[in-house]
Amino acid sequence: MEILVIVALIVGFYMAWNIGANDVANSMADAVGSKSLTIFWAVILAAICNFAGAVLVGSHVTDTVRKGIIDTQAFAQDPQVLAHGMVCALVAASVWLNAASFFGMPVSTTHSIVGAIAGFGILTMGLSHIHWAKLGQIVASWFISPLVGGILAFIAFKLISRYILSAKKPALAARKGVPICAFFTFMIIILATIYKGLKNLHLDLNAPQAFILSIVGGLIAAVICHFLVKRSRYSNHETSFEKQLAQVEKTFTYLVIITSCTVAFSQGANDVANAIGPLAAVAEIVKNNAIPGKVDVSIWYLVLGGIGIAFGLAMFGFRVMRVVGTQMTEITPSRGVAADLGGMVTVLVCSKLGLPISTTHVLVGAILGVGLARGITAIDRKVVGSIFTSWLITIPIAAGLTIVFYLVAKWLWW
Amino acid sequence: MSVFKKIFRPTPFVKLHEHSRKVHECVELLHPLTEALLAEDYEKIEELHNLMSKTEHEADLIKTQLRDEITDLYFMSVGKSELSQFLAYQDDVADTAEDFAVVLLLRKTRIPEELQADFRAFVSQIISVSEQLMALSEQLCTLAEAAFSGPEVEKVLKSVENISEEEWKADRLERQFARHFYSLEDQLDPITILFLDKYCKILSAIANNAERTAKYIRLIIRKK
Repeated sequence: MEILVIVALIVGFYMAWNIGANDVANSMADAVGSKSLTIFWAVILAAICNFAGAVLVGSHVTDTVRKGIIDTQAFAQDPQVLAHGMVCALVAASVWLNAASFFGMPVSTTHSIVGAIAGFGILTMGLSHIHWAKLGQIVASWFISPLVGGILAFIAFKLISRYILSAKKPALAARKGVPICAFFTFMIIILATIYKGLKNLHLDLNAPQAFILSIVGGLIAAVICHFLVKRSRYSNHETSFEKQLAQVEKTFTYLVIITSCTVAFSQGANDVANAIGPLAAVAEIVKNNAIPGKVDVSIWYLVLGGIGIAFGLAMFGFRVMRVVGTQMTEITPSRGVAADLGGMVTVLVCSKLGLPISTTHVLVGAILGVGLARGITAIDRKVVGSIFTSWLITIPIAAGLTIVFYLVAKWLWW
Repeated sequence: MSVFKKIFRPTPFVKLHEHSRKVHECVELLHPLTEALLAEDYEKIEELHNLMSKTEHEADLIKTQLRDEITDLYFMSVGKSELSQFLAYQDDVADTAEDFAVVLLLRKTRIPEELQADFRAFVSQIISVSEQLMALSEQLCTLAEAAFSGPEVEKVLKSVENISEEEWKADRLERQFARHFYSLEDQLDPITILFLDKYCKILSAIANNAERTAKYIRLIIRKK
């Protein structure tokens, strides 16, 4: 039986590696694309933030993937079957991800694994033993999260547009506005992390404490930001509007680096579950010879997942970042900040709610939101279309592959 | 792989500005054409006409390229049809400038001494209107940066008003020139008068097209 755990470990790690290689680059896309950050630093920061997000906030979604989709009670008699299924789901999802990448199709790791697990559940236990309510919530969140990301990004950019870009002296307005944005960003991140979180670090804070800490954290960030912004040389005689706008963008580079890091953080919180959820389930089943129980997932799984993602990012992410950096020429720091904020809040909230969503889709929704706020001029229609079509086929293919692998493995070994 | 590598397309305003520069290049050729006409240097007119044709063709190429680029895009900050229409109007300016070169080619028209000053002033004003249109197109790029909001929008709309005013001045200069050559109608042969009238119509059409293009910018800015 231990072999199963080892296999699960390998495939789980491989899945995490995949996530790091393909998806994480998207979270830093706004910073890299707007030339605010070199690829080297983008990779380093993304790895750190992704890891932090995975470890600090990743437990909620991991629990959902681990035991929230299929009714694990049904496997009480024969938990080994569940373990087999999880392994097959991991394998199927990884295979599909690699195949899709090979053909250049943008697919979501989240959709793949959820589809795979659901597929296995339907095959073995029939339609009645899926947590349809939860699955319904998850699928609904796949539709709603890009919308919410778009709306939030729309609002964020409208605010930036109104208070900074439209101001009489945009450069000055930016220097005041950026620390304020930094305050809010840090406050949200800290609040999301510590409120009803960090149980696995044995640090449970109640609401008032959490609020105060997050406000303090936000203020510190704002002050640091203020000094960083002040340090850059500005010529106050700059009256030409074009030059003022250029100054605004320059001021925003500090902020877009921060916001992209927060997106990486929230992505770590949401995506680590895709690799670690099944792995944790398998390990627990094999160890206890029983279905996964009420105990929260151990932090070490999250650490393992975070390391896997970091590896994938370090080995492969460079390439993707370079592509993103050279080809995303239309994103400027001010637009990037708006999109990042929209994406970050959405992904974080979903992560806290234990909903596995696709960070990439949310970011695309956020970018469209910024566009609607007139921040971006033109978006390729075919690319947007291909995102949604590849999404539709991912679920059935992942489910189908899982079923195939499970049946084959059952016939061969079990 | 990363979906973000392909999702954005270059902003069309850069190419639009390129187009407007090319169009103005065509209109600027009016100056040497006028001088050649007044100097009765008909070989020069041939040469300039060829150059004008070539430049107008280059503008057409830019226009077609831009049209191709924008077909597959979702236009978020401005309307796609508005942009297309603006391009068409701007192109009309170049087309009309070429028409002027062609008319000059048709006949060796001699313009008498007394009329030359008025004619020169008229042509200069036409070129000035086109120059302002080019400056306006450039400002569209900046406006896109500013997300079409704020005081810059007012500045651009003011510029549009200015172009209307300059076009009105061009109309006045045309009237002045026309009244002048009609006052000399006994000394001029009828075909010359016919051609002077043609010149007037085409030149003021250039200014009208430029003004129409400028007015259309309002729609681009306001829409969405």
